[in-house]
Amino acid sequence: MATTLVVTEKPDAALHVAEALSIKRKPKKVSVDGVPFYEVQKDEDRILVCSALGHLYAVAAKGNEARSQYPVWDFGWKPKHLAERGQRKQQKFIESISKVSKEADRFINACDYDIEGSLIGYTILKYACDGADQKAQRMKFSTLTTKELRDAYAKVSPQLDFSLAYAGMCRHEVDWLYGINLSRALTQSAYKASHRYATLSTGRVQGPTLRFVVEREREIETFVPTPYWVLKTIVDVDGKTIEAEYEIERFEVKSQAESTIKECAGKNGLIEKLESRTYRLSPPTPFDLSALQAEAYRHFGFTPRAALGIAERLYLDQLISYPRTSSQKLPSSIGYEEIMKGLSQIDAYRSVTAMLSASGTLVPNEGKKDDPAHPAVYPTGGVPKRMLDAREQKLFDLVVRRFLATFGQTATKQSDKAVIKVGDHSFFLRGSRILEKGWISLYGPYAKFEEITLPTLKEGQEVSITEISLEEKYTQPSSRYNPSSLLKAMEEAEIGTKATRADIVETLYRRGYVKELRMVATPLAFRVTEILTNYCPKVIDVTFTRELEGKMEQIESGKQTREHVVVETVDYLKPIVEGLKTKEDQIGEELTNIITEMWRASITLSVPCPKCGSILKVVRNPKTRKRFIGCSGKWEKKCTFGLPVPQFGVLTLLEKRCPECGFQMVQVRSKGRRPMVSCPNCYVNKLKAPKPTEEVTIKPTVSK
Amino acid sequence: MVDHCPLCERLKEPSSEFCSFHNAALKNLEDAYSSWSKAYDGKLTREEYYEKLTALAETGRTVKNLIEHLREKGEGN
Ligand SMILES: [Zn+2]
Repeated sequence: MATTLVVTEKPDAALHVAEALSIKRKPKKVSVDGVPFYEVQKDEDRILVCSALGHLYAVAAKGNEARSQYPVWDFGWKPKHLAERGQRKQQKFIESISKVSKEADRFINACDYDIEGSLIGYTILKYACDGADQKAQRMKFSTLTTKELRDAYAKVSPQLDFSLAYAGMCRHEVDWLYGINLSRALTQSAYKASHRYATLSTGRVQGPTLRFVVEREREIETFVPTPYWVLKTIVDVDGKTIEAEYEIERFEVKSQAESTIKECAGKNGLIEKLESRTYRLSPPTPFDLSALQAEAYRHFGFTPRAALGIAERLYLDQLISYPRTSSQKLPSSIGYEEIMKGLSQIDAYRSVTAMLSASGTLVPNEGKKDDPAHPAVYPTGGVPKRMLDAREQKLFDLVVRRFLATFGQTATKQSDKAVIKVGDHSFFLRGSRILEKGWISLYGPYAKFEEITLPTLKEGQEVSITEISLEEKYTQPSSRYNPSSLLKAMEEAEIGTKATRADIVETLYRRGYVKELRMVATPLAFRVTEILTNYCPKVIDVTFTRELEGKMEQIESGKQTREHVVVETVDYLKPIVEGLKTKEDQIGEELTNIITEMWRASITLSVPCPKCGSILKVVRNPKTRKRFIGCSGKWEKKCTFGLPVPQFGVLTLLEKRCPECGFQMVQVRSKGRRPMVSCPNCYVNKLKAPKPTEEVTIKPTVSK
Repeated sequence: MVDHCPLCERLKEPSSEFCSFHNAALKNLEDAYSSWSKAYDGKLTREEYYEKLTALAETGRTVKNLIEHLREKGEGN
């Protein structure tokens, strides 16, 4: 009896693979030192399906130097628990997989079919399974449906997709070299000058991305508007009032606009010409990941990272295909009819799927973009087996309706324009309406068109100007990025990948470089970007990053080697980082004020002392070293107000106010624990309460 | 002796009164004056120009700070 070990990326995927491979009975769930495996009996063979927890191995420095040490050029791949803090679970998974692998004589990587999945499987097989990567096979699939998984198992590739795994390794290594050296250079320089520890990070993609936001902020901060005037005109057509446009959209000289008003006010005009044009509106193309993220932001306000997270859950639930795709194609092999049949079991889609199926051959309006590994995102035709939450429901509906809309008929729209003459002046009335809905009715609420219906008009008809006035307006600065538009900017600049861009956008928030949904660059973002621009402009220039992306893509197609790209990166970075090292004092000097400001902000509460109105701060008792919230009116006003705060973990003052008492809430982050959010004021009041029947309410924040 | 911009912590640009950031604001402020002046048939004084910009939400914060500085300096002369 042979034993096959199948490695999947996540526990849910392991279950689906196991279920798909066990034909007669259900797979048996077994636990190896607390780590779940699924055992499947297939003919004479035994199949063990295990799962990773995303990456179990990571790049780390070779030696055991201090975490502040740099430059670092020597690295290797280490189990994640040895490379990063708080990875106990990952350690258990590695140990159990390693143990089980000894029983196996055949190995399959069944992680998601893309760079990350290929790399996750490769490192586990190579390091945890004693070099099994050399004999391992690869299952390739785009959905977790039983049919496709069985098919992928039957047609398993005889060896791993090494080029994809090497491209993944290279990306991690290059990013690690960038991140570790440049971030440590900044952090160390700041520490040297201010003796305050602040994590300052930058990265190969993060640096240029932050620069986009900073440059936009700079544009807004130095913006000088200029005035212009528009005419607001109301005309009366057979007793109906309609707003008209003047032929000149904006006047840059006020007096010119005023004289136009003088010449037209109270006058009658004639309809000189009526024009109508018909436009064809093609159906939308199938969703690639970035289009899905953009639509999810537009309609639901989901950040790109949230949209990807939800899409991945729907994928793991077998409801949609793999979302990390660049493709806008839907090959017929996915089985359009079958999918329509499946969707017709859901009430909301019954009539539209019937309509489509009845309309004849199904041909999607494919886009140009392609992806060698996956088709565009599409619904599998599966019906949700559990109650989807509101966000999942929304995204699922969007994916389904988009899929249906791509098969729809071209829609037609008519635009109407009437030209009104008042002396030498021309005014326009505009209308538009949908003539044939076509795909618009399939896309449902996601296809929005404003229809303006004009009354029946005739050439030569008389109309009167009932109102004409001047509106003063100003030119506007460019708008700030939001997570969705920043992702688009990264995509256009060709930096990052579909899998990593959303995370990088989120990192900018986490590192304190941006705040608010309309991304405002903080003073720290300005300072770090300016330092990088002054001392090492190359690292935040998109050109090098983009070129590197190109080379890494070449590794995927076998035209470039991982070693070559890594060596080239080290050669490129070495003089830059060594240069930074010699300028630590100068850089530190430039960072000192901002670090001090940040530190001050981190200990100063935004709510005043409820007793005396002075500023409240987190301070330490000089004798006991215990921290607490103290009032700065202690000496001048003899105020004795004070509140205890948790003693252990990193304390952060939140902007959030307590819903019960309005006091500022705090968060405590301890190693390996969920962050705890609490109100220091309510904490004390509950302690003072006569009967403390329950524990203090310290609500954990939901962190995903 | 390091020479800082009088309006922020940045270093002054060579042979200039301000840093690159405030110089960018100054350039925009100078460039836009001609458009504003033309818009009001050449009848807008500098002081009226500054007043209008200070009152507008569209005007960048750095520009507003710069205007304040220029006004103070003007008064001092
Ligand atoms: Zn300045």
